Amino acid sequence: MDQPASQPASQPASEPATQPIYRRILLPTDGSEASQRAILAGVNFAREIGADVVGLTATPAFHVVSADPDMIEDTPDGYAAASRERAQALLAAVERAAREAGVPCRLEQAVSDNPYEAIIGTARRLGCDLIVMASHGRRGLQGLLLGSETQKVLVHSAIPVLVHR
Amino acid sequence: MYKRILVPTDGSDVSAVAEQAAVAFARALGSDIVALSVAQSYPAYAAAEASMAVDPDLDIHALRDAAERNAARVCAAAAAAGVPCTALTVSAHSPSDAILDSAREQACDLIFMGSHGRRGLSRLLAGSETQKVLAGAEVPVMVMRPRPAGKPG
Repeated sequence: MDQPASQPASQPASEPATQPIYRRILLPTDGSEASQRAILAGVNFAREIGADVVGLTATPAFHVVSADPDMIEDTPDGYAAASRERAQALLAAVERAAREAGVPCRLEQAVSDNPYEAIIGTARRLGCDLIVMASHGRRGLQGLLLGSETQKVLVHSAIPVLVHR
Repeated sequence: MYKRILVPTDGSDVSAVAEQAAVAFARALGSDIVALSVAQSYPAYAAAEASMAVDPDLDIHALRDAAERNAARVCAAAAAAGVPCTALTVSAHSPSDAILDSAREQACDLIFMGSHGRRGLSRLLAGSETQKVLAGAEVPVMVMRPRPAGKPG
């Protein structure tokens, strides 16, 4: 390799990479097909670079007035139990993928009406240095627009976001 | 996985952040970089932050020269890190279309870019070109945000 006279300040050229470029990858999921694909890609990437992963799902808080059928037919306690169960099912998919790949994995469940806040807050709290997520979630119009939560994560996240289709 | 990375550059500070990160990433993974610079063949430089945009009559040669310099700068940084790099300059109306087309033509399996470009409003929304790339990309896109000024991200 030619070595130009001026070296960029960021990277010494010859030092071998002693630690992975990313150490802890946050994998948010809402159970959509797109986020399932992103999970698999994130876990594969973690295996390749020697990182660990954090699976995260955010469920909305209970509201008395709601258009969400899961809330309408339920009491706060029942709703909390049902959403906990749903979250555990979503996170089990992350756990399974990580186990199959031999990637260390931690699971987090957040209650938040703003999933992007839970995503960014969890990344910061657990020291994640990369977020891998889908361009669209359950509510996205596939192929047309960027999902609104993804968009908000991109704007507010201080760490890189690897967006999968 | 992620063996050939498209790195669009527009010469802005935001794209510089993405460029540096892309070089470090490619070095760690043993990937190649394709540095893409788009000479925007349309007088979209109303705010004329770039010194070459003094002539609204569109000096395409100056634009192309500047674009080529941007791509070459990325490749120089890549070379310094031992990362193989191809510099690519294209003329196009739409940077996002050029990015998507180049990713396909160059068989890139990852696109690395800033959350907004020269004209983006960082606090309010991701840059429109970045959004168009995210909406249209067939491969994953790594989005880097610049260091937040004044507020912890």
